[in-house]
Amino acid sequence: MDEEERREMCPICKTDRYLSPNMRFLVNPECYHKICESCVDRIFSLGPAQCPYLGCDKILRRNKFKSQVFEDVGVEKEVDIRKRVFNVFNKTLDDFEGDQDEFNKYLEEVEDIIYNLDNGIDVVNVEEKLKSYEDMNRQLILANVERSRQDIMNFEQRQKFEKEMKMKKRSLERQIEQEERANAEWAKKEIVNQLSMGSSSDEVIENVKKTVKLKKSSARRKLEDLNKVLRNNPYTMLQNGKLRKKDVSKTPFTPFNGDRDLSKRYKLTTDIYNDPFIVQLEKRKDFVASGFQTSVVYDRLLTEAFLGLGCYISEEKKTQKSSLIL
Amino acid sequence: MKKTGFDQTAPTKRHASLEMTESTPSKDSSALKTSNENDEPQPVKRISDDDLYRNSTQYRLWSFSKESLQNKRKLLSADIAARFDSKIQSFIEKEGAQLSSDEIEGLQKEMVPITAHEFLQIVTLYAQKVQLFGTKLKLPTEVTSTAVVFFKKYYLENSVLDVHPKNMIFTCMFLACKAENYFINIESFAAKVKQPKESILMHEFPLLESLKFTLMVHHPFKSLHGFFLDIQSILYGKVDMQYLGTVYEKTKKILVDSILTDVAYLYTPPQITLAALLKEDEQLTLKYLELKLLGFNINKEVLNEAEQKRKEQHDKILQTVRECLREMDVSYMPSRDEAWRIDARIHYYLDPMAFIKRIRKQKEAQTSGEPAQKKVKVEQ
Repeated sequence: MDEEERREMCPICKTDRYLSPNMRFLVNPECYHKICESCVDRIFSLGPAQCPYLGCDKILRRNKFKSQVFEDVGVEKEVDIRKRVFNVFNKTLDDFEGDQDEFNKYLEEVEDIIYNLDNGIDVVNVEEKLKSYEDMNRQLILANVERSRQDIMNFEQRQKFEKEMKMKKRSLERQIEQEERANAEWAKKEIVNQLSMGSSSDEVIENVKKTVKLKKSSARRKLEDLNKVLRNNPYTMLQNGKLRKKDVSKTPFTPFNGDRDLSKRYKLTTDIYNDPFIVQLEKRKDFVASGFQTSVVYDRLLTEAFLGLGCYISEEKKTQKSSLIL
Repeated sequence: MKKTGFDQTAPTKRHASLEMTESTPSKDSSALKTSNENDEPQPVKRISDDDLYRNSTQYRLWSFSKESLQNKRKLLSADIAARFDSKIQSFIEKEGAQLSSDEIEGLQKEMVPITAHEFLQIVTLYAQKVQLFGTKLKLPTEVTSTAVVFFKKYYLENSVLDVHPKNMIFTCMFLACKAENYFINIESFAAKVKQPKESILMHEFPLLESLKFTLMVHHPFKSLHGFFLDIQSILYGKVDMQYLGTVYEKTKKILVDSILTDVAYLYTPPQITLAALLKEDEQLTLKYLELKLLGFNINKEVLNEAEQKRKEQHDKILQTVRECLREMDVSYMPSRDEAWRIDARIHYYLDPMAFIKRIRKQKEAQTSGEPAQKKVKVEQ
């Protein structure tokens, strides 16, 4: 029997998927042995019983059975453990008042616990730790659960709001389109009508166009309002009932702690440069088509030419080294 | 922030940028007042290209003052000496019973630890081999140069006793191909250099570790290209294009050779490039620097303050470039004889018995007068 077949067959009752395509496999987090649904019903309907697998002496209960999400049992087990641990250890960065180091330490500790539980290292102690933490921090845990629930609710609300707005916008746009089409038709007819009455053609066209312009529809106005609302969407600003702090520092992030110095050490005189290699590239269609510009190339080359000209390594590194030793 | 000579060359531009920095904070503050009164306006910081270079790993991790470079090498050679000693000791202890006294003496005399200088020589020799293989495989100059730099950096962190340089050559080349975006897959690379691919890949991660995972190498070639353009603009009408082209080619060759020296650790790419240009055509380079950095006649006697400052900068750069040129002319390439001797010592370190065998062979050849080869066969 190969692996594929075995996977599709319940090892207890030997039913396989070929004959009963509706078969579902369940596992119990006690031992993660795979058993088909009908077997579970059969064996555990009268109360807790031993796992039917040979050599497995775990006592299983029916209500703990669940369907397997991940094919790999190891992954499934770890996910379950994670779920359990995170229900208890649910602090967020906010609980540490933004102290990244402390938070990282905490996360590391949690990972250790998960790893130990997953690999069966020192399980008794770790369980004890989990329990005592839960007892000691019950209040905090509950608060955090509440908070995460609120977060999710807020998120859902916001999504709903945005979806509604989008729908409205689309319908308004459709309305505007229709009105415009009707207006154009009307203008055409009106022009013909007036011309048949016998006035000068240019004047008539001018007049009709003016009236069309004045007929700026109410739908259009509504759309503008809607756009305004979307622009200052209350849900992006509002979270947990208070204004979210928008970017803490006012200086934008720059990777090297400052903007580039704008004064250059060279003057770019593209028409003077005579570089056989680059000039050739400029003539090639595939280069030009993809936006090749000689001035950019020259600029980059010249920047690199002077990059670090004023760094005197022997002086700068000497002082640095001595300070390191001290 | 350090100021450089070139800030001065465009006084109008500089002035403009200064004005901008002055006006921006005030604008900021007015904007801030409307939104939040508590925040203080932040002054706008500007960083020059030099500061950018100071942020590069080449500057932070791979640039040294001359003394610290020497110290680094001394540490390595001290380590080598210690290992040589303990190796001889343990070898004599283990095999001493089978050895005659002059064999031991010869061993002690021959197995002199490799000095820092010899270390450098052997690394330079194999670094040149990297270059040769690079040209043989028709790799672009930059790729080959990166390979050489990797190779040299590896032996700045590790001793030749750990991995024999000849085993590092292809790993460096393979990694350099990847680092320089000139990818050759390992199968075809191994086939090209006629080496088993395991022997190449085996050292790849240790190499990466020794490089501290910094793969960007700022070569002076781009800098040279930039100067080639800037010379055209500064000396417009004064220099023949054809001639400048040959200068460019020759300077590039000088730069390729300079990779085997220590300049890359001690100076920045533009400084190295200027040194190479100075070596190729002193007059042209001096004239260029004069016009570029001074903007007035170098023989002018009376200088105002700004000019004085510029002259100082010009002199400092020129001095650095000249130092760099001196360093560039220091070659560590060993002669064939020297190289052979150093290599032999590494070989004997790895396998002291080989040395004893050689001595015995020599002795037999002397005493019997027969070719040593035959004698050995008879004994067997």
